[in-house]
Amino acid sequence: MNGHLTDQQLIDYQFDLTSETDSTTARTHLEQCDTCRRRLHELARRLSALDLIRDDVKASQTLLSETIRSAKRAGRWRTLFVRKLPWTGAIAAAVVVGIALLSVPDRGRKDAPAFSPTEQVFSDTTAAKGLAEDVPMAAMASAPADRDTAEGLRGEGVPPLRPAGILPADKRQGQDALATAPVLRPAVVHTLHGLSFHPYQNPWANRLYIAVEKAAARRTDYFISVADAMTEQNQAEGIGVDKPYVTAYSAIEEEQFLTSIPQDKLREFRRTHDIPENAVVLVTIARLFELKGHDYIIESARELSRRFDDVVWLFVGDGNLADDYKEQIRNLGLTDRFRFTGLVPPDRIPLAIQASDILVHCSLREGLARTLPQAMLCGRPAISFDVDGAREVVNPDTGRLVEPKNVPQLIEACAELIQDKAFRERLGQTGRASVKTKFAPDTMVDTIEAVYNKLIS
Amino acid sequence: MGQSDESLIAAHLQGDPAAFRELVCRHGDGVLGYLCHMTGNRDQAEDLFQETFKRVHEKAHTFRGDGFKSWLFTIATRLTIDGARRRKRHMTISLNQDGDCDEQNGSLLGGLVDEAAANPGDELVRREQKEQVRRAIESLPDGQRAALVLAYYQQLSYREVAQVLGCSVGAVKTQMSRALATLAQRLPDSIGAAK
Repeated sequence: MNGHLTDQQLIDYQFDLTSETDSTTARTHLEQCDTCRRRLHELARRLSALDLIRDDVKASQTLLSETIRSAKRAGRWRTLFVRKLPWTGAIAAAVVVGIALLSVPDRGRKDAPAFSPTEQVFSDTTAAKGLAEDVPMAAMASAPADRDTAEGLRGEGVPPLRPAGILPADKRQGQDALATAPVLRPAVVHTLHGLSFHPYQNPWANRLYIAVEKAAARRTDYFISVADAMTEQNQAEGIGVDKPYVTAYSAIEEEQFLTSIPQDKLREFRRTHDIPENAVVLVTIARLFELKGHDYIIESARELSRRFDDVVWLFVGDGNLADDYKEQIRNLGLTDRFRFTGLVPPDRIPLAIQASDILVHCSLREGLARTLPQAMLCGRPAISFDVDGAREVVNPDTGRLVEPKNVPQLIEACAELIQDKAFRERLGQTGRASVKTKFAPDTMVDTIEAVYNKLIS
Repeated sequence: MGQSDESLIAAHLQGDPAAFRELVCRHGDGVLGYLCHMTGNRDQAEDLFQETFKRVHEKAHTFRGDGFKSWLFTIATRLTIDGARRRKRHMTISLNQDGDCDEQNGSLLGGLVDEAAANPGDELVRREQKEQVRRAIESLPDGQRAALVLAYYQQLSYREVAQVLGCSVGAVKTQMSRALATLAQRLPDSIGAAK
């Protein structure tokens, strides 16, 4: 070989990229040439910089678990020939709302005379229980003023709804009045318990839901939201922007949460679930289901369990992901740190909370999770992902809000509360005071009643 | 020593859910690293990661039993190419800087604090050098980058890389050779300590 080897030849030799003959030639040359040997070392040293980022990327436990679940789920859906479940929901919603819209005229309301409170026919309770909670609910306030129209509505298979909460004093008399009185355009109250559209859903399904919501909003007279966030998100999509909204926080039977449970019962609860008496318990009350965020809690536990010896995580609830989470926890070697209660009767929820120290809620989508005010009523601080209505109850004085999916932030928030009992108690006390009135049944009833009265008058 | 990939796939086909989990955990870091290098964006890489293993789950019955790793990376590569085509059609720019594949688990500050604890000066230099390496790799044409990442980082043989990329071993070597020559000029001059 004449002269020295080029860089390219040296690289090809070093990385076995050349033919056998060329390789032998290069080796022979290198044995005799110091310059080329030095250059080869120089190139090798420079290329060794590639190792700086070897193994730099790690798949998080959350990603691994989500991947496994989504792959298994996709398999199940194929079997059922249902590719995208949200679409099924969207179509169902469209059908239901379509029927509702057909039966509720768009005009006439403005000219309608006032009608009697006893003939108001809408009930938030009925609305909440009548259909799936995310489907727009047309709760009709109907005072039949025109017999033909009333007959017409019945003919279409949509009987005027009866008052669920407010009935005439004499029911039969009221029904007679209903039959003979002229029909008016019904007033419609739409209760938002949660939104039908959200970032974790197929965008096309979202578009369909939003279109349906907009159509329903045109016939709606008043919106009642369970959180200001619901109102804001609805209006941000242009739904009912010209309509009045009011927030009526979902009432909680507060007494059972406010009442301190005797220490012996709390100790017994801990014993039942094999929780040491001195352990700091981080409780999560949520279905073990998609988007409820248990993965993030498990991932945070990996680091927190290294930092703190006496911390236990308590998952209250059940769901189709229970086995997945248990396996994930087993794989991380954290079995001794987690407890699963399975389904718990509602009247034992206060016990589960009071037997714990901190509520951790990492759901990615909620209206306003009731578990947050419930924990606060028990005097426990809450750590929650900053989604939807969470910030309406969780703030720096009552707990910690964490950027959604941000596990390092979640770890720090938990650590801060785990290590300072006095601080937890301070947050708990402030939290209790802040939600006591907000979630009282009287507050909700007064708010809803005010809406009804406004529509009646 | 655990079961081989091939026997795990067979167990998965027999309905053993733990087998699929084991495969995902075993190859998770490698596949995600490859996809990060190929897309330069953590979010896109994670989406493709999920899609890759979804395909593995679905198409396990089509695996012929010769080299799970190359089969796995073939799927990842095809999805990357399809994804790139789609993105070209719907060109978007991410304003989310956190989405870049520049830190382990995307935790920018966390890493800085932990690593800087030993010697902040050295760590900053090291951080900058890592960034230079990433930029150098990202600047390579797709074919060269794929060959380099598969052969160097994933330690696939040139024959396996050829299978993954659907080309000859000679073509892989050519791509590799060009990639390394380019990198030899672009990689940082000194490694490790602050100057």
